[in-house]
Amino acid sequence: MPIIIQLPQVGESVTEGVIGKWLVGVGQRVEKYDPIVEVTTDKVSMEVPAPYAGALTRIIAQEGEAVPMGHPIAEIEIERNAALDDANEPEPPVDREVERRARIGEFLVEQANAGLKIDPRPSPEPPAESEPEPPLDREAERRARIGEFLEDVRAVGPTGSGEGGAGRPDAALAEPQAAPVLAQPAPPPPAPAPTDAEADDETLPSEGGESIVSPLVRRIAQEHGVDVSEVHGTGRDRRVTRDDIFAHLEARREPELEAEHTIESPAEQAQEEPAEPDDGSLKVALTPTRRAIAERMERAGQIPAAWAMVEVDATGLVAARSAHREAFERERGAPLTYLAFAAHATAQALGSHPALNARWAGEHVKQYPTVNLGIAVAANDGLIVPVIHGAERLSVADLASAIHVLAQKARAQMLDLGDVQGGTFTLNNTGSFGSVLSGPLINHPQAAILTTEAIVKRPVVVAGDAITVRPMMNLCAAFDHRVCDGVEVGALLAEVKARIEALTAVTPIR
Amino acid sequence: MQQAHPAPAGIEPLGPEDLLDLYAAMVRVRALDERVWILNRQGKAAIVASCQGHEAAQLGSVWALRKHAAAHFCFTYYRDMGVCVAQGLTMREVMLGFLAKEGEPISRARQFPLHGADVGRGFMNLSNVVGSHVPEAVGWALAAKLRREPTVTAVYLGDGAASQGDIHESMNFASVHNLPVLFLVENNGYAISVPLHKQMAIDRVAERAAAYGMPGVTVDGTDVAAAYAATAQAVQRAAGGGGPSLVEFDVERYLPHTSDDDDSTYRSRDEVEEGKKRDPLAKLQQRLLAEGVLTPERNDELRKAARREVDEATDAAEAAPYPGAADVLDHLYAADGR
Amino acid sequence: MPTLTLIEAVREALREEMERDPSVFVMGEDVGRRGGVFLATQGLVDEFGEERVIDTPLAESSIAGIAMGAAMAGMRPIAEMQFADFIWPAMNQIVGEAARARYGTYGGVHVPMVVRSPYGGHVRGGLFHSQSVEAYFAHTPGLKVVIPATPYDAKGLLKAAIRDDDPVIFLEHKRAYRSVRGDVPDGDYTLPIGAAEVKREGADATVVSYGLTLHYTLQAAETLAQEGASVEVVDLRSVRPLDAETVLRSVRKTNRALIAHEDNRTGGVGAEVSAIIMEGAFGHLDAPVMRCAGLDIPAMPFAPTLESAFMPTADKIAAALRELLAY
Repeated sequence: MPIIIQLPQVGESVTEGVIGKWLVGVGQRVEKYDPIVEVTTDKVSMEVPAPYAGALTRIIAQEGEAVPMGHPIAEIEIERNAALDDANEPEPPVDREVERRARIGEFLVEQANAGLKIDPRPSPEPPAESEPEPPLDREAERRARIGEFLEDVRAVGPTGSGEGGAGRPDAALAEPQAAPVLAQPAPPPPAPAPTDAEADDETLPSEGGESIVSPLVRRIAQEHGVDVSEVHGTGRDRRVTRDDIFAHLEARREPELEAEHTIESPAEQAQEEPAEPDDGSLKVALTPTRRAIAERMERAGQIPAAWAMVEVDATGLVAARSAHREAFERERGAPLTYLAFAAHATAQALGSHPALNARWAGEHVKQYPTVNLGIAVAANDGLIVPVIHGAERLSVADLASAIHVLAQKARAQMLDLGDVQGGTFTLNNTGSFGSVLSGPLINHPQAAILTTEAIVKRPVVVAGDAITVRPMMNLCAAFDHRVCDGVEVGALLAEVKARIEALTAVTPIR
Repeated sequence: MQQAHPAPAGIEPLGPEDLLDLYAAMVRVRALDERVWILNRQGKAAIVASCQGHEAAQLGSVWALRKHAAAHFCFTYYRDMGVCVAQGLTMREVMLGFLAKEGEPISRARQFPLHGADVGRGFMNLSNVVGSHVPEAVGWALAAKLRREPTVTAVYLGDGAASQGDIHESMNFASVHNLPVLFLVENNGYAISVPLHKQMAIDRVAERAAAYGMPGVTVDGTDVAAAYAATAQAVQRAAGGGGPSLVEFDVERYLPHTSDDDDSTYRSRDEVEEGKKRDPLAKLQQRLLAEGVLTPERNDELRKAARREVDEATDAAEAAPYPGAADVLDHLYAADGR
Repeated sequence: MPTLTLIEAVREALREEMERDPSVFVMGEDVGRRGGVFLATQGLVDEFGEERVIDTPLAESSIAGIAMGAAMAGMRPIAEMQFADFIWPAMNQIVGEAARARYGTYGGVHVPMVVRSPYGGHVRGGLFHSQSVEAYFAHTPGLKVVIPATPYDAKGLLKAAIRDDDPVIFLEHKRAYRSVRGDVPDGDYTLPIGAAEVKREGADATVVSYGLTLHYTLQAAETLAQEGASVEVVDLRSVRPLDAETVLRSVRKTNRALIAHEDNRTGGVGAEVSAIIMEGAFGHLDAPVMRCAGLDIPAMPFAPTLESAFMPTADKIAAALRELLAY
């Protein structure tokens, strides 16, 4: 069967060539690499070599014709051995209809990507850096390090010298800048006075007349369910400040306190149980966290829950993390975890499956407009689930940073109320302790929870019924069967799986 | 430009065995060079700079370094496939470089073909900024001097590179500090399209050597024996503490600057055909056949073996995958190594 | 513990490293008998000889290129660029060549070279003896850029730079050479490159700074303290790699950030730090990130009045802080 010869892509920026003289006629035999036709492009004049040994059977592009690179120019009947020799890089038989439709750009992109294969080697842990510092008294050390800044010392001359008497006589020119006056008691801050160019340079750009809410204030307001427009602003231009929010909250503090009190009632009941005889067992007192977990889990147990699991090929996930890890960790100082990728896939998928980003509200199901993703963290005194608000708007990198910050705060017991409130869906990385299959309990009052299990290498069957070894990860979900059915959960899991499997080493994480 | 440099005093001319070795090496390099050009025309090799016409200068000078220096190191430029092969780069490795495939040993296909470093095999070619490697070579020679090591450093450059300020600074410093370094200029008369008389107002780059206080000679770089002898003398001088030298090889470039260049816009075909008459491979073949050192049968064997080796290298490189991108961040800093 | 000026700390680090490691050598214009125009290498030629303290021809490109070649061959050269303003002829060798050598050879060669250079102004240096050049190099993957503000940091970081296996641009502020004094322990110690340090703790705002400007920043923080505000001061110490974590930790605590440096404002280190804060602490910001930097004109005009107009002084930093705190 004849094989099409295409005009090869030659040159860094060239898209087409003009066919010159055919050096071989139809029916003539050529050796592999023999020149067959002259071609002129914007940059070069060249002879196109035969890609195979064989006999030319047809000339498609005639002398003088301009041909886009990658398009057919001739047909060759190849010899059997030559065909086998080149089995590793066959010129694809051309579908002429597709060929006609194909735009050159698309075609070249396909060509450029053909044969690209991503190597999913996991990167090793970065070596710990240990730079010994001399032992010093910390306070004295701090002072010593900052050093003493002598404003009145003779300036170093513009072309060097200084000590040793070689300095220029004019090097001691008095500094026109006045030393800051330190003796004055705190005066009211003067309005910035500079009158020349620097004034503009260091004044904040105007943001218009309307009241601005800073990211910090907006976040605090959101976490506490405060409508900023109802708050009296005391900042510049009547801006609402952080303190204004807290003052506003103070006003409605009473009812909230009562609500918190009610939650503690089950614990009080427990204290009234009759004493057990001493059998040597150890009585572990409940920490507040343990108590809260117990209470939540009890409620979770009352939900009519069902479970599902899918297997995910984590090859691309491993490659993506490996590709970005070092740069990310160098820039952000936070680990780039698999969990961040899973969180991103989950938050994105929940956007198109709102049925799971929801809660059972008795008479109706409440679906949430944003994904507030709870991340289960094993803190020192038990499980805690800090929340990433608006997770669907965050990139993998941002999620990794956010998870790192929340996990650190959780372990340092520095989470504030806003950090743990308002979750709409929970993600639990049970793989972190080696689990490959979990039956998670739903984080009440949410509708569902997802676990990411450990990535383990397993033999899997791939295209062509071949068996190969792949890093595999299970995703397990539990869901409130009152809120939805298995079909919705299956769709969500399928999308999360597809998103994770679509990752490659070149997938951007920002 | 004409060379008139008889074998220098104290340099034993190459014997038949060496000449035959050099011929075999030249046949291999030529076969490889022709193939990569074809691979470019097939759209498989993105960029090719041919060394055709330069082989005698490249191989003859490496032979001189091998024979007359206890140790040597070569800083090469993009046209030095002959030097790289003489320093031990295999055909397969060269081919992996031209096709940018996994396993390319000197830059892992991060750089253009023949760019990267192999300190073990004694060569490096870091840059595409023409001439930038010359001060680095002088630094390499300075290190050898400070450590009392017997290494002779050879830095290859073209006539175009000779216009760079770095070359002036480097030759000046090398001479002030009497460093064991050779400046080997492969003068083919063209800096891409700009002919020599627009690059310099003198006839030979070697004329500049005197101004830096070092010897400079121009030899026929298409004559492997002459290239060898002139380099050998410079190597002996450097190895004996005599300091740097400049050797200029008068060579021909009968292909365009690179596969991306069309020389018909600035060179007459007559001039190119005239240049081909100085083909170093043809000249050496003619001499060795005439002297009976090479038989037609042996010649045929050598050429067939080279073709076979090139075919195998091509097939291996075409079958190899492109490198994975998982390590694209590696080796930026010491801490990024694997 | 002895009290040294910044330039004495530099000199002490050079001497100790040359004593410790025979592969360390110094090269540059006037570094030999003259001891460098600022006297950073004073006395070294007497101690180590002309082979290891090389007076080079006046040619910056080859100073960098030859140092790079020697470094690839296993030496540890310290190349001095007489003034940072004179580094431009060497730009190709530093940014084009040295920064790419390890990456371009997949680790086949590396460049353990230090390029030392006095930078900065307010010394009547005019347009060609006053420039801050760090942003050009901080942009370049493959380089490290270190700018110590104190004698203690200068010694520990210069020793670390000399022992580092990658090219390090080490910038020393000319005005800080003899105007900053501090305790420097005798003997050997290094400090990690890429680690910032909180030089003053505070709660209401963070100022990120480095080099000479750090001292103006500390003065401004003191002024603000008397006005009742508590300002934290982070000294970057190296601008590549840049210690994002220390910056973010501070900003997440204080919710307000100002970056102060002498280099030009546009495209300076402050722009990068600002972006890092946006990416890593946006939800913690209670005011826009601000910059107090050198004017966007070539550094720096000659007349003393024009110098002062250019310079981010303590007064200007304090004014910027008041603006930031009032937001």
